[in-house]
Amino acid sequence: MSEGGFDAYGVDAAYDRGAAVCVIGAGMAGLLAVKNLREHGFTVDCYERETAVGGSWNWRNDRSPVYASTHLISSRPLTEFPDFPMPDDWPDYPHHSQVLGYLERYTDHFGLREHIWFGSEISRVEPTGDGRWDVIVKPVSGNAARRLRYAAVVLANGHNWDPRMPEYDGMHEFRGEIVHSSAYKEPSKVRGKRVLVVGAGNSGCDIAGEVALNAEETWHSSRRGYWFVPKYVFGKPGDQALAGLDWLPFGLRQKVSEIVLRKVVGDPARFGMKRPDFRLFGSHPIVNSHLMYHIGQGSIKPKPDIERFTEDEVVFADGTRAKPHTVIMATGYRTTFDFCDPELLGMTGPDDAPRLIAQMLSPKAQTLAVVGLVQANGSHFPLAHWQTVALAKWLRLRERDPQAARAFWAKAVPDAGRRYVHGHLNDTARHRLEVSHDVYLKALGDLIQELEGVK
Amino acid sequence: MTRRLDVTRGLDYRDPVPHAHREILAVLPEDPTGKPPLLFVSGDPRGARVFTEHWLPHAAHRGFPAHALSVRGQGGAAKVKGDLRAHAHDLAQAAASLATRPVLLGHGKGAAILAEGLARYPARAAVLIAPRLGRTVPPPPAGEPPILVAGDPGDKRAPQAALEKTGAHYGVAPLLFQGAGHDMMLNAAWREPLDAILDWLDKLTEEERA
Repeated sequence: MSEGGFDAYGVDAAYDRGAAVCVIGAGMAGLLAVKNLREHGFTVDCYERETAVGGSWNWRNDRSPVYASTHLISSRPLTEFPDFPMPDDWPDYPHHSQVLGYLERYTDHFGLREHIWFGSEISRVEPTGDGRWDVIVKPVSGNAARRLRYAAVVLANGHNWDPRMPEYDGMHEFRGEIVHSSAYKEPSKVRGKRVLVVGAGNSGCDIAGEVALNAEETWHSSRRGYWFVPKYVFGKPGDQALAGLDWLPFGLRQKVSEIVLRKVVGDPARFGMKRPDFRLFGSHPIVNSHLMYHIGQGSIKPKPDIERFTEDEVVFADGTRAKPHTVIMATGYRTTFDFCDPELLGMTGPDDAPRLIAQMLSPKAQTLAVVGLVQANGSHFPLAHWQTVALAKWLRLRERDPQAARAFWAKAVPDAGRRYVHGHLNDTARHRLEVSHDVYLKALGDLIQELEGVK
Repeated sequence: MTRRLDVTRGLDYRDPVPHAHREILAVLPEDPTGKPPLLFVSGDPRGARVFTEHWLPHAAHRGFPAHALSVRGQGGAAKVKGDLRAHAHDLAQAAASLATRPVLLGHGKGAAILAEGLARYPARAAVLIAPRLGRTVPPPPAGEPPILVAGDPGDKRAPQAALEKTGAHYGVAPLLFQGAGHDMMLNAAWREPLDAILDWLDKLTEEERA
C-alpha cells in the first residue's frame, strides 16, 4: 500500500511514545516479548491484526495453520515456557486447543492484555535516523492510520503464515484441486477422495496419516529421506528419551541416537521411503509414529518427488503415476516481513534469508529485533522465551551503560548470520532458520549472562 | 557464590517431575481489592494447615487473597516422596495455576523450596521467612522480584547468621522480629511479623502504581 493514501489522516506527524517498545504480533513470541520486556521495566505497545491472542495456535485466526487434530510434537515439559509451567496433569503431547488455552492463561496471568491493541495491522516500520522507529499502524477494518514513534521495535509476526507453493511442469493444466497444507483443516473434506500429500516435513507426515484414515486412496510424495523420531521411545516421549543421552559428547550422542532410532524405527527403505542423506540432528527430525504404520497397512503409498502434472495425473520421478482428486502441498512457509526494508534484517543474500545477530538482532540497527524466527530440533517456546529475556537485557544495557553497549555491539556485528548448529548444515533458504536446540539455548544463556555482566 | 542461569534444564528434560496431587487452602477477601494473591509454603510436614489458623484469615482480612500450599508429602497432598526439585516444581505449578501473578512466601525449609522455585516462576515478590537454606546456593530468580528476608534472630533453627547470609545473597537487609520464634505463624505473637510483611507488600504495590 502506498503511504500517500494516509496523508489525509495526518500520518506525517508522529505520536511520540518516548522510551516505549513496539511489539508486532501477539502470538507465542509476541506475548513473551511483552511479558519479559515489561518485567525489565519497559513500557510496551503490542499490535495484533487478529482480535485475539495466540497467533498460529489460534485456530480461529484466518492465518492459523493448525488443523483439527494438531498436537504438539515436542513433549510438554520440553515445550512449556521456562518460567510458566504447563499444568503437569496435561498429556505428554497436548492438543492445539490446550496450547491456545495456555497462551491465553499466560496473557491474563501476567496482565498482558491491556498492552495489546487488537485489530491493528502494521503497514510500515521505518527508521527515523536517530536509532528510533516510526511505526504506521492501521486498523484492519478502516483506514485511519496513525504514525507512532518508538524507541525499539520487536518483530514477532511469525513465519508460518505465508504459504510456499512449489512449481511443477503442467501444474496449471491439472484439473484436480491443489491446496496448501495451511488450508487443510479437517478430514471430512477428503473423505472418499483420492489424495496426494506432498512434503515429508512434520505437517506433511502428520496430515498424510490423518488423510489415510479418511480418503479412498492416499499417496505421500517426498523428495528426500528423513530421520523419524517416534512419539514414544522405550515408553518415554522421544525427546525425553534422547535427552537422556545429553551427557555424552555430541559425536557419540549422535552415533548412539542413530543406532537407537535404527533399531526402534527400522529401515525406511524397507517401507519404500528414502533413507536420510544426512546425519541425525543435522536437520530437524520428523516426530511421527503413524506414517510407517499406515504404509505397512497399505493405506499410504510412498512416492518419490513429483516430476510433472498432466491434466488428470501426477507423474513421479520413478515414472509411476497417480490420479488424485486433491493434492495437499505441505511444502512449508516463506519468511515474509513486508512492512520493513529487508536490508534491515540482513536479508541481502540471494536466498532472501535473514542474517541476524544471535539469530534475533538486526545487524543494521541496535533497536530492531526479530523473535521466534527459528526452526529447531526441539520446541520453539523456550528458545523464544530466552530470546526475549536477552533482548530486554540488551535494551536495558543500552540505557544504563552506553559504553558497555557500544563495546558489545562492535563485537556482535561481525558475528551476524552465525549458525547455532552441530556440525555442518546445508545453507538452503529452507534450512537457514534452523538451529540445534541445545547449541542455541546455551548461546542464549551465555548472551544473557554477558549482557548482565556476570562472569 | 552465585549459580549460573540454567537455560538448558537438563534434568527436567530427561527426567521431568511427574504430577502428584497438591493441596491448596485459601481464604479470600470478601470483596476483591486488587491486591496481589499470596501463596505460602512451609517445610513443615503439616503443610498448608500451619498457615490456616492465623495468617491466611488475617491476610485476607487485610485484602490479600491468601493461599497456602502443601507440596507432595505434606499435609493433604499426595503421600509420595519428593526432593527439592520436585517441591519447587509443585510450587511453580501452584503459582502458575492462580488467576494472577502471586507473591510467594516460604517459611523454614519452605524458604529453600521458594528459593529454588523462584528460578521457575517470576513471582511478583518473594518473602523468605526464618529461612533454612542449608548449604544450597539459590539459583538466580526469574524476573528479578523484590525480595524480603525476615526472621527471629533468637531462632535456633534459622539463626541471625543464616538470616544475614540469605539477605546478603539477595542483596537485602533482613527484617528482624525479636522473640517471634521459628514457627511464628503459630505462636502467640503471630500478628506482628505478618503485619510487617503485608505493610512491605502494600508499599510495593503503591510504588508499582505510582
